[in-house]
Amino acid sequence: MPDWRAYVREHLGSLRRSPAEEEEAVAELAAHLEDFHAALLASGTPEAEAFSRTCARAGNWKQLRSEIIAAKQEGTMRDRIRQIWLPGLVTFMSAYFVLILLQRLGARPLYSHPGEPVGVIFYLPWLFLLPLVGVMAGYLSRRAQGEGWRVYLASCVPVLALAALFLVLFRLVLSWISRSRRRRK
Amino acid sequence: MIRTELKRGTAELAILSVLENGPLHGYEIGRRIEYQSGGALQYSLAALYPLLYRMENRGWLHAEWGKGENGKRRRSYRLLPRGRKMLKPMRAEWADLFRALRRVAKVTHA
Repeated sequence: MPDWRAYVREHLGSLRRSPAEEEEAVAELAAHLEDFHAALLASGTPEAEAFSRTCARAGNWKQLRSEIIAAKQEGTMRDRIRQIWLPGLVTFMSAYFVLILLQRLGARPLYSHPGEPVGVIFYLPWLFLLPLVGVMAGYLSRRAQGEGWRVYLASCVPVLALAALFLVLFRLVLSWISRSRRRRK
Repeated sequence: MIRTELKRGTAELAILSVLENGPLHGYEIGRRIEYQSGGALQYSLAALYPLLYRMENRGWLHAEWGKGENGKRRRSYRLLPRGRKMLKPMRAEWADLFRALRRVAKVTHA
């Protein structure tokens, strides 16, 4: 009986996946060829012919490799969207709407520099809510079968996005204030 | 014999249809399709497995390792509700195509 695993490994080459994933694909393809070969032998096909027909059944190895890579990559991208970006976006939007809601409800903010034109405004209830938002993103990521660093990244996305937004806005406001001051002079 | 390009288009429907009656591993999927089509539809590894992986990624199929009929480890595919839902519109689409071909190309037994 030929060693179909070795045969597949030799012809397939690298799939640009983790060793465990590559081994899984090799094992599956080898199992297919093994069953096909065994069925030919059982039907009375001579060994040499069974071997050559089994090799022919594999098809074009180059095409097989490139199509498996494309199929697996499609899955990786889909997983990234489902496990990181979608939970992150949903919770980021929810955090933003909660902030608007708090403002509408008249929540009183804390000012870092009261009475001055430039300062930072804190909505404490909203800040305390952010870890919960992260937990929600992590939960959504887990529901989409996310694991390990993907769950952590998904739970950090809302806070990182809000921090980035805050820094950009802060910088824009500062430059606008300094420009208007210069104009006044 | 049906040309490769034509066969490729049929593979999704063929795979979903043979999995409708229960989980099967890759070789068994190919064998059932070949048997049920009277030998007209034969898929190489290059045609079958990338498609199975795509269908798994789309959430149409679920694959898991287990023991096959011969006691060896085999990765079997099970049809998921999302895949089952795809069958009806896919069948309707193919029926429409055959009707259209019958009218245009006078294909009698499509």
